[in-house]
Amino acid sequence: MTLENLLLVNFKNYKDSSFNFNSRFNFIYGDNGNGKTNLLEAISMLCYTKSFLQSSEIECVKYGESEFEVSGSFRNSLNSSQKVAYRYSADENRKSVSVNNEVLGRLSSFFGELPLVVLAPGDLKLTQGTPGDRRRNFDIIISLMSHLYFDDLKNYTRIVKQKNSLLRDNLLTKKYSNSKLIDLVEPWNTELIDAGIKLIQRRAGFTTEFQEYMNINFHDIVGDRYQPIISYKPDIYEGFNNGTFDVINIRNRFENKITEFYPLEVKRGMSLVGPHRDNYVFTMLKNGNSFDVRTFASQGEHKTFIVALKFSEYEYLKNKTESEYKGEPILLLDDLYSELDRSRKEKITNLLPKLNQVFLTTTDTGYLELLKQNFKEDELSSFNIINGTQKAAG
Amino acid sequence: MINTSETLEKLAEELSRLPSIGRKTAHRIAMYLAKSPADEVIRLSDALLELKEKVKLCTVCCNITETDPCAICSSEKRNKALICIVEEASDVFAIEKTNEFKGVYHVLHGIISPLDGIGPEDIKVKELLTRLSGDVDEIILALNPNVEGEYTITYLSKLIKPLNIKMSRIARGIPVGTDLEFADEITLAKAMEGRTLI
Repeated sequence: MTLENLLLVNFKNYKDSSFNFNSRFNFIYGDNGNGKTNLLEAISMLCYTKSFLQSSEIECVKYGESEFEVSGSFRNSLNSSQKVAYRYSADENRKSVSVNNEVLGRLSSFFGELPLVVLAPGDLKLTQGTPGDRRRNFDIIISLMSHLYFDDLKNYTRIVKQKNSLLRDNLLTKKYSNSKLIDLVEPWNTELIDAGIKLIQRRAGFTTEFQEYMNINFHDIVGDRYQPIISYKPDIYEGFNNGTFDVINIRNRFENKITEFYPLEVKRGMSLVGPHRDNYVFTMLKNGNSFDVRTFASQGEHKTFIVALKFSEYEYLKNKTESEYKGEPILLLDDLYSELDRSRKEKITNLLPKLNQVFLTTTDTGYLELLKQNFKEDELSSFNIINGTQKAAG
Repeated sequence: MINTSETLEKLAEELSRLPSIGRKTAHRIAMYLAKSPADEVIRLSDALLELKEKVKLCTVCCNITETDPCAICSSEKRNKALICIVEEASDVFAIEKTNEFKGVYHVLHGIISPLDGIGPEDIKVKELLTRLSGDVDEIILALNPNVEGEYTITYLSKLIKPLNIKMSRIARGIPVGTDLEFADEITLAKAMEGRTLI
């Protein structure tokens, strides 16, 4: 899948700008604060029906205006074109997404139609941040591949919210007696366990498959010195071993832990057990010793790990949606080169030609020379962004 | 919007509290009524008052009715030992249209949802349990297939289980007239889950 063009009207610092993109490589450069990332954000809004930066719509409206529009034409592997338009009006606080001029009723059913992988400076929190950051990242990838997982995840999240609401209200109002409260919480637990097991099973399966992709991509950038390991740590089973999944064992552990934690849940007024508290741990093996990426890696190693992770996500989605008409994902690389040393920069640049359509932003035009060695002349377009407009290409 | 009439604003605000009526639509209706002939508006307001006067809930099944018990509960052709539990009165209309169900109903008037501040005590669960102490053989749970519907089914089935009454829930699956290839994958997966033996 490729994005052919993009139109931005009153979006962030863009008043009215249009772009025609290269189907292979798009080099977007300019000084800080001119709107390079905003351009990528607009692309992500068309693909995800949401911003990868999780900006609220109102933050995306150009200062002094009341509505914005972002639209673009995507071409899939069957060579048919889809025009996607995202409109938001601050006055009505309403957003609408249309595909080929037809407004979508349920946005969630569109999620995954336009596969996209994003690498952004904020992704450093994948290795350094909270379990929630890592869960969110992988949940997006699994959801892009499977509508069913996306639906299960939405249901599970709703169940947790309902149970939390029951526990929290009761903490404040003491409306129900102890025995009545148990009667009310138990059916939520039944639902939470049923829905939760589906998530755990999917996440475990995903991690096992994804490890293979990670091995290859990490090796391509770093060589043999390290081996990256992604371990899935379900909240209900700390010692879980990737690759072995026994539903009965998982269910027993789930039920036991949820029973054990019930008094604490009542006391805190929230649900404390289940996949909404899962974690993924990243470790590296070096000379037979393993160390935790989160605490022991340098900035450059964090970045390398994340670049390998994002390239793996790309390959994974590409293979998973291969049989469909969608074609390969689009890749957004916001500030790819920062924190990396020269040899890693070169290795990563050498990998770029095997990717589908790439959008790369940078403040340093020097990288253009490096890229020209890897791409044919007609495979590479450059865009100089100055204060929300494109300066005529030089 | 410039406020030209306080009375009109007041009506629009009342209208906007109705389901699926937004502020814009409420204004449009209020404006329409302001321009309508007086007798038309009086007919509407009479109908509203009459609704409140005459329409009540059936003391047996909690459905909306003008006679108590309602026409379904008092019909001799209906099997009183078979109860279909639904969320809203509108669900009764939907099932009645099929002309297939010969039992009676119980309308819960809502679904258990802590996020909306609705517990079992806020819907017609107590009334249901009173009914079940009588002569009931079978219960069919016809609730919406969402998180709250599932919860309410689990909650009710726990309450009803000790009473030794046969319980079932309506099937989920592919709509009639739809080819499999056009069904969305979530519906298909649920239909696979709820498959039946042949």
